[in-house]
Amino acid sequence: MTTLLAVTIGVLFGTGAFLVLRRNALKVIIGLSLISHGANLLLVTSGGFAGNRPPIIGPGGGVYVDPLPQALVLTAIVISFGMTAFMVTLLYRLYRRTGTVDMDQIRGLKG
Amino acid sequence: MRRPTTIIAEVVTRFAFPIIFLFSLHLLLAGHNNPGGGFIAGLMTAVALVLQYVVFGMREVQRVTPSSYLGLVALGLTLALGTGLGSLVLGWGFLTSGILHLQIPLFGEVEVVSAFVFDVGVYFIVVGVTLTVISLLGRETA
Amino acid sequence: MKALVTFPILIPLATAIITIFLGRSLRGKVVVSLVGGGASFASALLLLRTVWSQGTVVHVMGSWSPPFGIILVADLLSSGMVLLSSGVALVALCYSVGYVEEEGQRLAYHPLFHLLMMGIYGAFLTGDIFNLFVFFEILLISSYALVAFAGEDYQLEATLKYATINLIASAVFLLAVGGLYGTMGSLNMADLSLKIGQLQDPGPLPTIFLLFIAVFGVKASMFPFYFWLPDAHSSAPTPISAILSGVLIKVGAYSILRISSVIFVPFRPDVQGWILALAAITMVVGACGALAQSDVKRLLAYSSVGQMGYILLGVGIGTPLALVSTLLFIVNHALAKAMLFLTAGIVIEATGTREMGNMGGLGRQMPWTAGAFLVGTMAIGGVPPLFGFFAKFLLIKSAIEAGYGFLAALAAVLAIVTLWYLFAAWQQVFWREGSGHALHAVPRLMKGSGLVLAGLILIGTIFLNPLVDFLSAVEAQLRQPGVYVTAVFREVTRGSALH
Repeated sequence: MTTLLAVTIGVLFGTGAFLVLRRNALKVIIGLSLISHGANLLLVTSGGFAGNRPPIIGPGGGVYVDPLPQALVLTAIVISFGMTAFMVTLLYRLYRRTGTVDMDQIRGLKG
Repeated sequence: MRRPTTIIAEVVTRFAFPIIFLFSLHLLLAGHNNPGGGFIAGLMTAVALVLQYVVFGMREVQRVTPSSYLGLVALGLTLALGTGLGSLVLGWGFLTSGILHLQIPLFGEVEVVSAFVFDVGVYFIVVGVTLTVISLLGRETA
Repeated sequence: MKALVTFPILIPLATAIITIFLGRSLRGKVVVSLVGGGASFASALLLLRTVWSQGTVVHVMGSWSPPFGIILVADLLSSGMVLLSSGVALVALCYSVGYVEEEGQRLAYHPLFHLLMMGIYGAFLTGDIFNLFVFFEILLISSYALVAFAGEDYQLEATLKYATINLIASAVFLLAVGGLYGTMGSLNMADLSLKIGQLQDPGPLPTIFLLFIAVFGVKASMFPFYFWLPDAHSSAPTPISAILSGVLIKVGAYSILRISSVIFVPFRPDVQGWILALAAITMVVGACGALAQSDVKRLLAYSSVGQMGYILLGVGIGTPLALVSTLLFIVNHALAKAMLFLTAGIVIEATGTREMGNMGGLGRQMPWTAGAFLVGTMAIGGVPPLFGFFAKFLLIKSAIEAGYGFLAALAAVLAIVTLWYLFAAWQQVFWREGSGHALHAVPRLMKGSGLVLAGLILIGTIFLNPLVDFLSAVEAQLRQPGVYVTAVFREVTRGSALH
């Protein structure tokens, strides 16, 4: 399971890095959110991922997953949600003013 | 007014909206000891409103929501901060949760926690922020 | 008064909430905002006094005892940094009242400003790595919104760059946190300090340390990660530039100082070379960048990059003398750079241009502003009577003593370059024959704010001895991570006795 997660994290980071390097700013934002998903997955994995075990101690005791990384990831997801919303709004304003989402043309604006 | 989407989407949305909304409230209430919570409930309510926006346009969303979205955020922050300050005033650490077991007729024992107020605060913040964003993005298509 | 630690975080938050509730009332917002800024400053003062007299203060949030719960820790370094930033923030806030357009103030300016300050104070006060991440994100998202505030094209473009780089940094921060938690099973700084102290096999920890330094280096504008800074700091509204350059980049330096003095103590030699090399390059690129600028705000922003190089150099050398001079440097740079940005803002407001070539001869028309800018120039450039000189001098001396002759020489040469470009800027703006502009009126509040900071620099110079004594005490505390750890775990035993 850990191997699968490691590969997934790698793929997320790889595609994210590829998208961040694109000229289309919208793709950059998608790439950023992929990268942050990769980081979140790594955080979950760091707590010792154990399939579908619950992160709380059930009525009968039993095996449970360390709940802390899951709490951390929840916070990180909330933050990346807010950041993505902000970036999209920002890009939209830029698009409304300049009529382009091409990073090269946007950069050309600066005097 | 121009009809933005198909009649199928409109009919489905009319049915789906209350279901999504009620389920989000369930998540909010169940959140303390079960899967759920203020954030996910707020997101779900926001998604219901986004669906409303996609299908009927911004005007319809504004009809069913309060006029000031930032006010909603401020309300949520106040609730969250208030929970924290309450415990601080009572001499506990900031954000300590109080637990109260109530016996309510018909329902049996109900566990009331002050963290729930915090969750409601989070709910309002998430709904407020999402609505602010879609109202900024969707202003001129309304 | 354990709750005192939460005040610098709760007061800005409460102020932000109230200013949102006040809707579009300008007068109400300004009054509440100024009162909130003043209250934050007062609470910071009170906190520092308490820490000075009673030692490190710890607050356990949610009554979840460490290492499980989140704690806020105020030792001399963190409470001192909170006081410094709240002072600069209060001045910048007064300046904003005159500077930011009415419409902007009616909208979200004041809430965002206080959220930014809340994030900064929180980052200084937290005793938990993940909580540090959360406060970083709070301060970052409000600073993005503030840089883009006026909504001009160049501001939006600068914010896009700033936000993109810092979002990647946040992802790397999470990677480092994940690695640290996976290795050590804890994120509480004091707990980590204990666990790492008992560790036999370092495992991946040096790499994780380096990752953290890279992340904080992005905030502190360390060499390969500084590209966003000149754009973001020069595009932001002037009072926000003052906060970003004066306070926010110090959060990065503070974090490096904190984790290397509390958590990763045994691995400091592993990364020292990296920090020193990157600091040296940062100094060079900052100075070269500043030499090439004709826009006064961009010049100041590049100068911030160069001066951060000095601060990182001191952190990298790490001897007691180096750390004391670094702390002195941080105080000097926070006050002087904030003041330079504020006075530059006054000049830009009066002349309506940011190009220094179009200014000139303003010294006669605005003598006080010219004087304040000169004090800032001398403080950053390190001209003898001011305490900026002692900061730089001691830093170079400590580099020589620690055996880094080349770095000392480089720092000395670049100090002259710094002095050169700042004086050239001053001369271009205020001294040479001017084109006789008709100047726009500038609100008195703005001019006064610049003078207050200039006054603080002079006061710091007069009371140099007490200041250095205080900073030596801070440094002594940094040298003994045991003090920090004991303070935190004393709180645990007290907490469990309570239950």
